[in-house]
Amino acid sequence: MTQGVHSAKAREASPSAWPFPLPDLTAEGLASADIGAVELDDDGALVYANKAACEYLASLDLGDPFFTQSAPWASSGAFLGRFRKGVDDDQMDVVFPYVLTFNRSPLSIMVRLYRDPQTRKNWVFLRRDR
Amino acid sequence: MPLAERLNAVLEGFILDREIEAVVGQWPYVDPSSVERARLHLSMQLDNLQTYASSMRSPDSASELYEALAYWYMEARCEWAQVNLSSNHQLWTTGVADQSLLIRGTVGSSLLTKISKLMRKEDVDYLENGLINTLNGLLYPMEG
Repeated sequence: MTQGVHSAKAREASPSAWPFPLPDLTAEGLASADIGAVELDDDGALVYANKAACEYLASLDLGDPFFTQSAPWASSGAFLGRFRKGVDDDQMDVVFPYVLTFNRSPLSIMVRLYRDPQTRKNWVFLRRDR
Repeated sequence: MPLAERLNAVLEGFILDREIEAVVGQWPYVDPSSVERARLHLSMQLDNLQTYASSMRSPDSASELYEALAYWYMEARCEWAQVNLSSNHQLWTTGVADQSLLIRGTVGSSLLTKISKLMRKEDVDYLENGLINTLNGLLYPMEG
C-alpha cells in the first residue's frame, strides 16, 4: 500500500500542468467562474462552493465535512492525504487527474488543491478533463 | 413501514442490469468481460442483502436486520473505497481506468446510498467518520 500511495504522489502534475486559468479569488470572480471552486477550512469543512462546483458535490451545506458529506469520492489517501499534508506544511499547490463515480456516471476531472499563501485559505478547484 | 419491507422495496427497485446499462449505454466501446466482472461483484453484494431480507423479515428480527445492514454498509463502503482508489490509480498510471471498476464505482455507490437511507443519518455519519478516522493514522504518515 505504501508503494501505491508514493506512486500516486509521484505522478501528480506540477501546478503549471493545470490547463485552466485560476479563477479570480474575489466573490465576483468565483461566482462567475466556470471552474468549480470550493473553500475548505483546515479541518476539511465546507466554507464556500461556487455554482460551478455544484456539479461535483453531493451536498452544499456549509460547515459539512467535505470528505464525508460534500464529496465522499474524495476520501482517499490521494486526495485527503494531499490536503492534510498541504495544511500541515502550510503550503499546497498540486494538480492531479481524478475520476468520479460516486452516485454518478464516471466523469474524469482535473483537481487542483491550493492553499493561498497570503490568506491561508484552502481551495479545491475542479474541472472536467478535456 | 417495517425495515424488512423497506429493504425489500429497495431490492425490488434495484434492477442490476438496468443500473449497469445506464452506465455503459453512454460508452462508445464496452468490454463484455468487464461488464461480467462488475456484474459478479455487484450480484454478490445484492445476494447478501437478499439473504438478510428473507431470513430477518420477522418484526422480532428488526434489530438484527439493522445491525446486518450496518455491517453490510461498512463492507460495501470499504469496497467502494478500494474501487475508487484502484480506478484512480489506473488513471494516473495508464491514463485509463478499467471499465469494470467504473461500473462497480457508479452502481455500487448507488446501492450504497439507497441502503444508507434505510439507516438513521447519525448512524451513517458515525460509520463514515469511523472509517475515515480509522484510516487517518494510515493515510497521512505514508506520505512522509
